[in-house]
Amino acid sequence: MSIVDLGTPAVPGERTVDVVVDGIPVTVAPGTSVLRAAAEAGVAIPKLCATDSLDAFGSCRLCLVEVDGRPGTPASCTTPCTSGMTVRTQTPKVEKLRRGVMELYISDHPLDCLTCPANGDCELQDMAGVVGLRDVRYGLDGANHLDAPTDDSNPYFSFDASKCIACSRCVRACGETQGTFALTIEGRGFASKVSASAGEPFMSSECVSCGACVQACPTSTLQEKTVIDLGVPTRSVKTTCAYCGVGCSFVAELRGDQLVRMVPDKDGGANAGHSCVKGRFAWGYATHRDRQLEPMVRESVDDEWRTVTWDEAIAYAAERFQRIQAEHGVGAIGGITSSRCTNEEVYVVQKMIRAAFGNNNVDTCARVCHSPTGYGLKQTFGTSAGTQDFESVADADVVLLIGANPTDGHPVFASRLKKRLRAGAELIVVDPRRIDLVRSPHIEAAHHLQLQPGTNVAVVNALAHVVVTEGLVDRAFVAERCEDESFAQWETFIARPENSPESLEAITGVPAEELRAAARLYAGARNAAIYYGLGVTEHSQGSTMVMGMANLAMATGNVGRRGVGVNPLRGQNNVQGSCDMGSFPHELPGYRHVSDPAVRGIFEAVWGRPIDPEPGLRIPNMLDAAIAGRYLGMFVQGEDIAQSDPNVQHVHAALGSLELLVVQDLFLNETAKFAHVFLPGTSFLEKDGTFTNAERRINRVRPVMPPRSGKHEWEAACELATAMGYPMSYDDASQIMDEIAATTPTFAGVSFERLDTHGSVQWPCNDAAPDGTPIMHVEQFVRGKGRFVETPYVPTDERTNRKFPLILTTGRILSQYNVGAQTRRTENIRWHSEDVVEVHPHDAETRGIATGQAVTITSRVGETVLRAKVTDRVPQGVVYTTFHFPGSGANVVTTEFSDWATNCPEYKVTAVELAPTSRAPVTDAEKHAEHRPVAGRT
Amino acid sequence: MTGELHADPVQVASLLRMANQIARNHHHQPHDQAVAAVVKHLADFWAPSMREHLIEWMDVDGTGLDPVAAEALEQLRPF
Repeated sequence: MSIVDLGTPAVPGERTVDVVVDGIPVTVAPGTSVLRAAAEAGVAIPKLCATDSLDAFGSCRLCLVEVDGRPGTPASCTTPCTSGMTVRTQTPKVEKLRRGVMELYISDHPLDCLTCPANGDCELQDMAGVVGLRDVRYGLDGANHLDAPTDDSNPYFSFDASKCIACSRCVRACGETQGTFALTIEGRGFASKVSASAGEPFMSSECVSCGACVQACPTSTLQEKTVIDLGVPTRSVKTTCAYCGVGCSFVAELRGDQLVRMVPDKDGGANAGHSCVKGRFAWGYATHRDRQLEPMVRESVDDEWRTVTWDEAIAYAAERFQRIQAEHGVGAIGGITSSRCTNEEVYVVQKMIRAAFGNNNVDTCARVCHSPTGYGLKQTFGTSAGTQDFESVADADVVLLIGANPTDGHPVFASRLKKRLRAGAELIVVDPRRIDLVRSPHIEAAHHLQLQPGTNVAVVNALAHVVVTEGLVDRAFVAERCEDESFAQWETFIARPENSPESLEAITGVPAEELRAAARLYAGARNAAIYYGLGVTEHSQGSTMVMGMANLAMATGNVGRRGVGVNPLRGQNNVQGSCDMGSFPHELPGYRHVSDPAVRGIFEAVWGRPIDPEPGLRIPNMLDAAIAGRYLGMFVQGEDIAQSDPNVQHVHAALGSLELLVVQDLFLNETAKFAHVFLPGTSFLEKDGTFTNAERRINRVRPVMPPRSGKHEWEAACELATAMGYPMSYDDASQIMDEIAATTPTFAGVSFERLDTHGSVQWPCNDAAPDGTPIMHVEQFVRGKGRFVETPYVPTDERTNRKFPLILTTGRILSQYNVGAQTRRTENIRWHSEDVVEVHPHDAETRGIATGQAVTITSRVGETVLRAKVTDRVPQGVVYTTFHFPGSGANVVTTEFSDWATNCPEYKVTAVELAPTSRAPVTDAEKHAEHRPVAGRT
Repeated sequence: MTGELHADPVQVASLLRMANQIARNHHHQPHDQAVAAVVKHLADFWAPSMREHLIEWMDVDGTGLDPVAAEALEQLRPF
């Protein structure tokens, strides 16, 4: 796979200098390396230690050149261009020097090119040819590294030290690109060698397996095991990762039809060539033996599944949906779209529900994560969208990180953030738990506001109080860009004594002086940006908190340019897109309310069906209605609500009440235990469509292989709608996007053709912004003037007491993703094989709990068993766990409390008690064994 | 308080909790503004069946319903 590598990073700046390379004139920014200038002139200077994703290092001595008027042969990678410079890259002198350097490299390198996994994809091999090396004068019987050991501890890549040329690209990639600094060059001179942590195997080192080192390695020293097993890829397809909301672009590299590796795309707008352990390596679930590839039906959940044809499954579901509606009314059925699916798949399902089902009972898994973002940002700014592109963080001087753990949840964005922090930006962390970014290599937060769970709004109000009462408001911005009246009301409200840090300290647990210092730091910055996650939204005042952050950003003038803004870090790959596509029961695509006759008219004209002008049911309302016997049929697209939604006993009771549950998924998940029809889904490697990431970037998802189930998911939805009497069909996914563009103003300029040309675009993309909109609200807010909203702190109803004295909060870990359906079916299981509960040493001591011990976690709604990990990462009184394993049952204990505006569950605050137990945690295998068998395979 | 309750008690308990929570988050506003805000919220985000179930329950019992929410539901009562 050939990749254009310009040798050193681009140098920003508008000034230019003119230089001449081998007689070719070229204009570059001052400070650009001679190596890069030459590459831009079309002259490839041999190199090994240089690559354009890393700062120049100057160690390999292969890129030597001669510069007129200067002595010696400087390394072109570390020589900056100056005006009028004349460079010669191919003189007898440098050619001889390069051959000599290469001869030394090859004299200590295995001569096994023909059997090497990187044969044909090795820069050392290429450079030996480029410099014209024909002979090695030094024998192999001298001291060498040919017997250096291979470290195979990592499940995804191998480290063969015998092939290492000590160029330090891996070490620099680990530091500069990933920001982990797990690798170093140990020893000096001839004894120099790459070392993970303190000479440990990669697997037990601090390595996070992001693959940056493998990507940077110019030889086969760090090599994907799939390449070793399968051979060098021969063709490639550009596509988009289906894990978190960062939305990394990848090049899927194949041999024939076999996927060999996923390589992060240098041109990817979101990731710029970087990746994490999930996107880079954890794609094996797509071909896992657990994939259910054929449709199945059963009359009762007590029956065995019966494998049927697609036609039978569709007819079975359609007939029962229609029967339920005939007997119980049009509103007795509905469905849920998935943030894991493409925009096109989501659009078609919501269309099926609105046009074929004839109601607005459609919701999406964003209900349980970022629905408060939709509410809060629409109220204040006018639309449900993050304000920035990820790249913009490079211009932030202060970052206020609230309720997010990017190094685990959004690792590729975290690497961008860490790079900016290493360059001098300051960080304020608002989180009950001491996340890695509070203190990690070369990074230390200026302030960690370790608040009590559930007091976000009190903290943001206190921050704003300081801004208002200490004269830190950006009056010019507010006067020009925001509503006078709402600002005046808010200013009066927020200045009240009850919102002062001192008044709220007893509630939040945050020392008033530290909070004041953090507020001054944020408000005083040239550019201050807010990034936030589910630690903001998954609260009883999640929407209030989003509005509170928007108030703070507006009051300090931190909206509408690079380096500022209010930025949700979306959980799943297409949370933004599934919301954009009209998945909420009150909104049609483009966040337009169903009660607006003009908006309904647009869709009614295209769809040919009337649209209900009233909102439909949200997921929790659907579940309540199911238990009440009023909601009897549901279509669930790619979501596992039986595991992911709170108070699962209630969810299970609701699902068990349904007369018809249709599940469309890759696997027989927990929800499928309650299903009557199973429609096999497609993995991201089979999908054709688009995902929209947290920065509103619409990326193409291109099929690497045909649907293993024989049918695209949107085709199945079309056929179900058709079978229910509403003919719906498209020739391909691009036609669906064309319909989205025709009906949704913010997508008016989006087409597969434009995406193929541009790589990606950020909505709004229309006539006013044909190339998309990286930064929103630049001249004015989407709603015109920014609106301040009063945000009184209202404590949650979930309270600790003598029986449940601890607060349980939940989160993610790097190697696993969401409910784990994908990552549990990969080697990522080796990093995290079970969920554990973190407990503070004091709380552990008083309960007799030690690390590794099984403990019961009991709330007022349920009980589960996990192993304990005693750590001071969590403060006293707070315990923390992840929810990646069904057996862990984290949502057995979470309650039905939710955000007041959106019903987003309050996952982050559950009053619990812990106690040692002799019971063992439920394993994944035990949960899997609960599934009914499949009979009658045909 | 008259009539017969058809709504499921579990569903009503859930709707009651939600309505009270919405009202409580508007208590800082002057009464009429708070009621108007709750009316708008329930109209914008609640399915008609949810509003109807709570109004039906309000007619039969109504215990524990926040006065702001009750007033808002009165305004949303279908004719």
